[in-house]
Amino acid sequence: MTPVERRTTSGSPVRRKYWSSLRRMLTGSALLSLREEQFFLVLSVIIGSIAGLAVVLFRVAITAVRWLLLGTGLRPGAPRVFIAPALAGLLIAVLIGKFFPRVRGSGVNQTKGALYIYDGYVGSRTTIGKFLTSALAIGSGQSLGPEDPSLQVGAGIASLIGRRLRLSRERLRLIAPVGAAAGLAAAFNAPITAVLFVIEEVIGRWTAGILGAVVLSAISSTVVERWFLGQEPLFRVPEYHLEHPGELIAYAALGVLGGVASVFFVKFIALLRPWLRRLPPWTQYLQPGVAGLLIGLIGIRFPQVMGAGYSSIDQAMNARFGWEILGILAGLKILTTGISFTSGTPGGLFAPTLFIGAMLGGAVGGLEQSFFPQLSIPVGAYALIGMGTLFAGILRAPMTSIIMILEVSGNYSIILPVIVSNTIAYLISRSFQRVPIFDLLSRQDGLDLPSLEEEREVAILRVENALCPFAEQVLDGNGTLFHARHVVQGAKGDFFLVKLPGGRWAGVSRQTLLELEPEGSESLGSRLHMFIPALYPDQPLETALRHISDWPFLPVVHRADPAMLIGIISVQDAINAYRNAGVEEPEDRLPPN
Amino acid sequence: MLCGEPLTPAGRCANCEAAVSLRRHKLGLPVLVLIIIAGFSFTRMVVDWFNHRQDELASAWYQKGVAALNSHRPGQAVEDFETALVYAKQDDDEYRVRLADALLAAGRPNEARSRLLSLLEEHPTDSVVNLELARIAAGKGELRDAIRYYRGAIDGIWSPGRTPAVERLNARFELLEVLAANHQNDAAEAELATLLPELPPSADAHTRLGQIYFKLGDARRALAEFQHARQLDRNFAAAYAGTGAVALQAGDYPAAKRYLMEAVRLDDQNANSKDLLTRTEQLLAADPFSPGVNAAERARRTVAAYEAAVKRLDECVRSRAKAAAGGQPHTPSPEMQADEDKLAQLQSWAEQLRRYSTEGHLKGHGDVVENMMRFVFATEDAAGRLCGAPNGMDELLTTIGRHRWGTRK
Repeated sequence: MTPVERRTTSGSPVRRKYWSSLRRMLTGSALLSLREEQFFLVLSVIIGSIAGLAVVLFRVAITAVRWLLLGTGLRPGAPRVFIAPALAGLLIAVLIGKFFPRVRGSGVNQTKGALYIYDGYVGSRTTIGKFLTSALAIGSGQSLGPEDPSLQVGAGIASLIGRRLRLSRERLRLIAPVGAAAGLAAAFNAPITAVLFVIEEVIGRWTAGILGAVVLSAISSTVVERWFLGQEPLFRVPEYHLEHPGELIAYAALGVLGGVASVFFVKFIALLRPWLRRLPPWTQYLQPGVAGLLIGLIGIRFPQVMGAGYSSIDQAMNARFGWEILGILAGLKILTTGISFTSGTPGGLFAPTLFIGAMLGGAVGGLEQSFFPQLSIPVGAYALIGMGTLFAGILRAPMTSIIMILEVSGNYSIILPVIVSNTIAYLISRSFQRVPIFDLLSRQDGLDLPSLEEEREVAILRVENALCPFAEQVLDGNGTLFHARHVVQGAKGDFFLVKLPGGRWAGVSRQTLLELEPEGSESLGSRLHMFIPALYPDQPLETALRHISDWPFLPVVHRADPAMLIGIISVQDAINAYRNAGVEEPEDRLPPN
Repeated sequence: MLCGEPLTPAGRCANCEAAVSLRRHKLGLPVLVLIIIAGFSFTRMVVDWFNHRQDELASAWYQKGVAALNSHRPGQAVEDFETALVYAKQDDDEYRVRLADALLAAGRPNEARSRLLSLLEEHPTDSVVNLELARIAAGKGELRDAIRYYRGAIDGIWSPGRTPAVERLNARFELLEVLAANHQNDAAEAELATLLPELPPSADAHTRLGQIYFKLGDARRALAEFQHARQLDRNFAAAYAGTGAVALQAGDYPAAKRYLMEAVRLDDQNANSKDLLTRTEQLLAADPFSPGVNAAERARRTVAAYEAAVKRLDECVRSRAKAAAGGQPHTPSPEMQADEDKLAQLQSWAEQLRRYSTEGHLKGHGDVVENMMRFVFATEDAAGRLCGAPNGMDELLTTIGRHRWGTRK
C-alpha cells in the first residue's frame, strides 16, 4: 500500500473510527466489549430466533400429526375421529408417565413457577416432552391449543441457553420470560399480545429491566415465524365500523354472557381437575385416552371442536354457522376443553378460549340479527369481540385481551366495543371466581405464585397514612446558634428540624446543638452540613422507609411549598400504619397443606 | 458475603462470578449463531416439504370443489373449497371467489357476502369480487349497493387470464339488466350512453342490447337491435328469439311464431325460446281473430272463449260472496260496491249473449263475434283484478284481449 493509499483509507478520524469498529466486529472483539445488559439484549434476539424456529416446527408437527391421524379434510371420517384422539391419548399418557412427567397442563403456570421458584429453570426433557406430547395431543384432535405449550417451549429453550452460558441467577430468572414471550409471539403471530401476556401472566409486574429483552425476543421470533410460514393471519377478520352507539348495548350483552361463560368454564376445570387427580394413580394412564374417546364421540357430529379450532373461528367470523350451531359449539368446546385439560393432556387454553369466545360472540350476533335486523352488525364482529371477551373473562388478562383484538384485527375502530365487552366480562368473572385460572391451577399444584391481579388489589400505603404532627418548634436556619439553644432548652424532644433557605431541611439533635461552639453571628444553618431528605404526603410509604435509616424521623412537606412542614414520619409510624392497614388474605391464597 | 447477595445454585456469590463468566459466555455466542444457522437450514427443509404438501392438498381440494360445483353439489363444493382454503397460503383469491360462488349456489348469500367483503377489503379494486358482490346485492334487492359494486367491477382491475374489455362489457350488461328489472330507466339510459360507443359489432352484443331495450319497454329500439344482430349473423338464434318475443308482445302472433320457430331450429336447447313458441302457438290456437281462420273455426273459438269467461265470472262471483259471508258484517265501501256492480253488469251481459253462444249463431256474424269477444275480454280483465291472476285459457284470453284492445286503463 502506498503512503497515499494509506492516507486515503485511514486519513480522517471518522474513517479511522469506522474501520476500527468494523475490524472489531469482524474479529468478535466488539461482542466481547458489550456490557452485560447489552449482551442480554443480543441474547434475547438469539433466543427469539431459536424459539421462533421451534414454534415453526411445532406448528408443522401439529399439522403433520393431524394429517396422519385424522386426514386432510375439514370433516374427518367417523372411524378416525372416534379412534385417533383416544389412541393418541393413551400414547400421551405413557409418554408422560414414563418419560416426561412435568409436561402436564398448559405451560403458562409451569413457566411462571420456573421463574419464581426454580430460578428460571425449565428442564430440557420437559421442553422436548412438551413439544412432542402437545403436538400429538392437538394434532389428534384433543381440544387444546398450541400457544401455551409454545410459551413453555420458548421458556425452555431460553433456560437451556442461559444455563449453557452460565448466566447469573438474576439473568437466568429473567431469561425464561424472554423465551416465553418469543414462543407465544411466534405461536399467535402477534408480538404485542405476547409481550403483554407474558408481563401480565408470567412475570406478574412491569419491570423496565426486562421489557426491552422481552420485546426484542417476541419480535425476532415473529419475524422468523412469518419468514417461514408467511404473513397470513390466523383468521380473516371482516370489515367493521361502529355505526351507532346503540350497538354498544349488544356488546354489553355479549360481555355479560361472556362473563358468565368464563365463570362456568373456570369453575368446571376447578372442580373436575382435583376430582380426577384424587382417582387412583393408575387411572392417570387412562384419563387422556378416555378424554380423547369422549372428544371423538362429540367430534363425529361436531368436528369443529377438535384441536385448536382456528379454521372454525375463521368460519364463524365469516358467518359460516347459524347462531344455534354457534351456541352449541361454544358449549361443547367448554366441555371438551375442560375434559382434555383436566385429564392431564398437555396443551393450552389460549386457543380454546378464543374459540369459545368467537362462537359465543357469533351466537349473540346471529341472535341479534334475527331479532334486530336494523342494527346490521356483521356476525364476524361479534365473533371477534367475543374472543377478547372470553380472554378477559377466563384468562383474566384485561390489557392483553384488548390489545390482542386490536392486533389481530388491525382495526382501531373496534376498540370501544372491545373495551365495553371485555370489562363487563372481566368484572363478572372476578366477582364470581376470585382466583384467576392460572393462579388456581398453580395452587392446585401446591405452588403459591405471585399474581399481578392480586397485587393490584393490595392497597398502596402512602406517607400521608403514617403522617404525625410535629409537636416541637422548628428551628430557623437563619437564626443564631444562641437563639436555637434558647428554643431547645424549653423543648421536650431530642431531635429538631431546621428549616433552611430554599425549602431545604436539616436535622440536629439536642446534644449536637449544645456541643457546637458559637462563632460570632454565624447562622445555625451555616453550621449544619447534613441535610435531611423531605418527603411528600403522596409518596409510597416504602419510600419513607428507604430514606429514614439515618434519622429518627423525616419531615413531610408540601409539594408546592417545600418550606411548609405538614408533619413528620418515623419508622415506628410507618410500622404502625402497616399494622393498622392490615392485609386481607384471600382464602385461596392460604398455603396448601 | 453479605445478606441479600444473590447466590449461584452452588451457593457461591453470583455477582462475583458474573463478572468472570460474562467474558466466557460471550464466547458461547458464536456457537449459538451456528445453532441458529443449522436450525434455519433444517427448518427451511421441513417447511419446504410442508408448503409443498399444503400446495398439493390445496390444489386437490380445489379441484374436488370445482367438480362438485359443476355437478350441482354446492354443499359439498363449499366444504371442499373451505378445505382448500385451509391449505392455500398465498394467492388464494380465486379459491375464495369460488367458495363464494359455491355458497351462493348453496343458497347462503350472507356467508358469500361476508367472504367477499373480507376479500374486497384486501383488494378493493378487484373487479371479480366487486361483480360477485354486485350480484349478491342485486339478488337481495339492494339496488344502491348493487350499482356501487357493478361500477367497482366495471372500473376495477380484472385478474390475469380474463379479457378486461369483454368482462367489462358483460358487467355493464348485467348492470343494465338489473336497472331494467328495477325500472330504473333513467339510470339505464345513462349507462347505455356509456355503453353504445364501446359496443362491439357482434350479433351477441347487439342481441343483448336488444334484450335490454326490450326489458326497458322500448320495443322499437329492441327490434332494431335484433334485426341488426340478425344481419351480422344469420344463424344467431338469440336474435331470432328476441325478435319473436317483441312480435309476441306486440300481439303479432304469426310473426312471433315464425321467428321463434327459427330460433328453436337454430338452438333447440334453448328452453326460453321453446316456452315462448309454445305460448305463441297456444295464443294462435285460442285467438278467434287470428289471420287465416275461417268462419266456422272463429265461431268455435268464440264459443269456447265465451264459456271460459262465463265460468271464470261465476267462480269469481261465488268466491267473493263466500268471502263476504265469512267476514264481519259491514257496509261495503263505494269501491267495493262499484266492483259488485261491475260483476253484476257482466253477469247481465253474459245472459244477454247466452242465446248467441252457439257456433250456428255466430258463423257469419262478425259483429256478434266481436261483441261476444268484448264481453270475454272485459270479464277476464275484471276477474283478473278482483279474483286473482288468471291461469290456462283465462290467461291466454286476457293476453289476447290486451293485445287487441289494450289494457283496461
